[in-house]
Amino acid sequence: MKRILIVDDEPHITRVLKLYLGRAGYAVDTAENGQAGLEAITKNAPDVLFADIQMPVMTGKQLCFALEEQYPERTFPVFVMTSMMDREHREWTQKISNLQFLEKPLSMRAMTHALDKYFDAAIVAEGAGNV
Amino acid sequence: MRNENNLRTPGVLLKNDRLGLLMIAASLVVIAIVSGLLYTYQGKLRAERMRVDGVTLARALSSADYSQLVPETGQSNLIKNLVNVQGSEDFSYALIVNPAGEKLYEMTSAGSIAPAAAMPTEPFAWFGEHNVVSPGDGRPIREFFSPVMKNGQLAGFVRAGYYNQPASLLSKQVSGWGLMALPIFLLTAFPYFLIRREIKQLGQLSKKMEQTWLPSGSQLISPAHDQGLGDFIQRFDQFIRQAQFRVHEMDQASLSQQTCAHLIGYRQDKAESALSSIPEGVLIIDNDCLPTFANAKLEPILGVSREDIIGQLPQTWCHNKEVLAFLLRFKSSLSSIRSASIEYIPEGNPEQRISVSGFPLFSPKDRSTLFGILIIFRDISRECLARQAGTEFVSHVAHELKTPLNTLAAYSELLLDYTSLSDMERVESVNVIHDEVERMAGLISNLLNISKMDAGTLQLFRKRVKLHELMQDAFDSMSHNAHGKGVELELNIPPDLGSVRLDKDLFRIAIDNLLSNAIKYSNPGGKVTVAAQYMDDGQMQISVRDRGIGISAEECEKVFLKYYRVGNSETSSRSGHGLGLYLARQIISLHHGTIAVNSELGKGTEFIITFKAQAVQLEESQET
Repeated sequence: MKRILIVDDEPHITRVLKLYLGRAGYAVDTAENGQAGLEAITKNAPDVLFADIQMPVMTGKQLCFALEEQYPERTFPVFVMTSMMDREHREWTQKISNLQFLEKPLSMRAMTHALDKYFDAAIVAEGAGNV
Repeated sequence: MRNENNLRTPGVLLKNDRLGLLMIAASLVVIAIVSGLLYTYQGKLRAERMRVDGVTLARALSSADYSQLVPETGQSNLIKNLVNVQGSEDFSYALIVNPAGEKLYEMTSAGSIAPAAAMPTEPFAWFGEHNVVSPGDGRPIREFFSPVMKNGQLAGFVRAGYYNQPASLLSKQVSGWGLMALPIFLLTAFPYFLIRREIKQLGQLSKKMEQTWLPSGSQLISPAHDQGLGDFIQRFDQFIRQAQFRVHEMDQASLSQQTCAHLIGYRQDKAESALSSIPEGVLIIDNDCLPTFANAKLEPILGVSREDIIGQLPQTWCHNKEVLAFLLRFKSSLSSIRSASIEYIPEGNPEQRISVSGFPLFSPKDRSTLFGILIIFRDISRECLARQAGTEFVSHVAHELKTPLNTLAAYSELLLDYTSLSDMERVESVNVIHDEVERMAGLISNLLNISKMDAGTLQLFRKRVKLHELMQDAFDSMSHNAHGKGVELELNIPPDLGSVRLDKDLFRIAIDNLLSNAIKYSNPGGKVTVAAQYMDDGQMQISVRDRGIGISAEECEKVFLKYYRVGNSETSSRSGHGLGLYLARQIISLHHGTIAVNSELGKGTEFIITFKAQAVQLEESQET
């Protein structure tokens, strides 16, 4: 089972994502801010990370830069969930490897579609690697 | 008037000359009278002397010895000597005649002929005198006679004749008279010339006085009739009166001018005061770009004192290239001058923005006359900040609205597949949707209330409200939120707090905003305490206290400002729109209350609402 980590300060969002993605067959962990998320990653790296940007204690941006610094060999993708698709975020996200945007309001179907697409591609890549 | 003066001048001279002639004539008359009197006196004196001479000679010869009178030699030295001794100019002849009248001896002056005369016979008439006429030239002669005795007998008579002629004007006398007449003449003529000279000066003075008259005042001065002192005095008096009148007029004019000057000064002061009171920096430059006026507000904007600006070219005091170019533009294009403006950021203060506008000062009566350029320096930093804050606010509000929308979207999507959800999950979903809708509604309500408050259309609907119930409701509505954040809520309000009159809905918004802030800025495990109590002075005090992140002292002053949010990562990570506290303060102000904040960074914050509740209690007691 693929493990997904959701970092968001909105308890309703983490709760509903956990419910939906759990039903879709993913193992979902949640963290309430960037720092908690970083600790969770340190313990057990997920297959996919979903992160909000505006959060207390440590923002999504800070979390991404911390990951870049601490885990330069990171393989799992980061999906940044934001409703602020302005130029400021466009600029700094260019510096983070393997990062994608998820525009708010979130569509959970679009999320699962993106996840399925990612994992299928990964399986193909792995298969190709095995050959 | 001037012509009349010119015409009058010869007349004046003529009158002067006539007066002079009169004085000369008078002096001549005096001289003539004195001369006549002298002449008469001289004649009398001469006649007297002639008589003395004649009588003396006749008597002297009468007492002389006959032989001495009629000597044998025919030459009487005695007569000759006596006549010579007398030396009379009038002497004509001296005769010794016998009683019959025949000449015994004769002595005559040159050219004189002794007339014949009958001699008296009676002794009483032997001494005497009478008039005879010179037979030669017919001149009258006074003849004195006396008897000549010889041996006690009458031997004859002595006849002495003197010309009895009037006093002649001898050159000797003429020079004497001349010497006498000269002082008399000088006595008259000299003072006359002195007086004439003085009068001439007075005449000149009079003329000057006439020339000094103003045309308006000239009627007051009567024209000169003559050159008399009285006339002059009269004219001088008129001149003095005229001068006094003129001085009075000038005093009045001076007073009026002073008043005008004061009025102009007052108006200028007023205009300058108005220009100085304008909250913007005001600069007026003339057509050569030289400043003629600068108000005090300009100094802090340009960082230059007014003394250094006025009358100095902008190059000397304007250090900003943009502003300098803007000012000099008005000099280079005077013909096509028009209003213009620029904005610039002063050096050394990147947060400030100044707008500079130039307006040509055309004369209201004539558009072709340009008085100069009015330059207004306006600090638009606040406006820019407000504009920026407005933009940020819209962005914030959009985010705040999107967050609950996000949750709504997610839960509604979950509910689409409700058959796979348990009952508990469905109830939870609906509850979340309900809460989020309320949250959105609250935000929209806050925005609307602020909009109304800014427009001044928000009205209070005061009702009697039990404060304990109101606070309990607010407490209950927030407890779920607090629980979710791991914050403990504590309500410390006595149940017998009583009722107060206030707008329940608005007051609740204020309390909710304070409570939600306290929960939002608390850390998990923190505690929020809500308390209310009556103070001794009849004021009601409500406090909301948290042990959260706190606010620095500088930020405390600003937290009630519209759109203001404390700028640190602790705050920016928590959703907010900078309206809650602003709205709370506005609502409390509408209730004639105050709201204060006590806070310490890292230790927590306490907001205290104080408002008067006494009047309500009084009303309540009247109602009960």
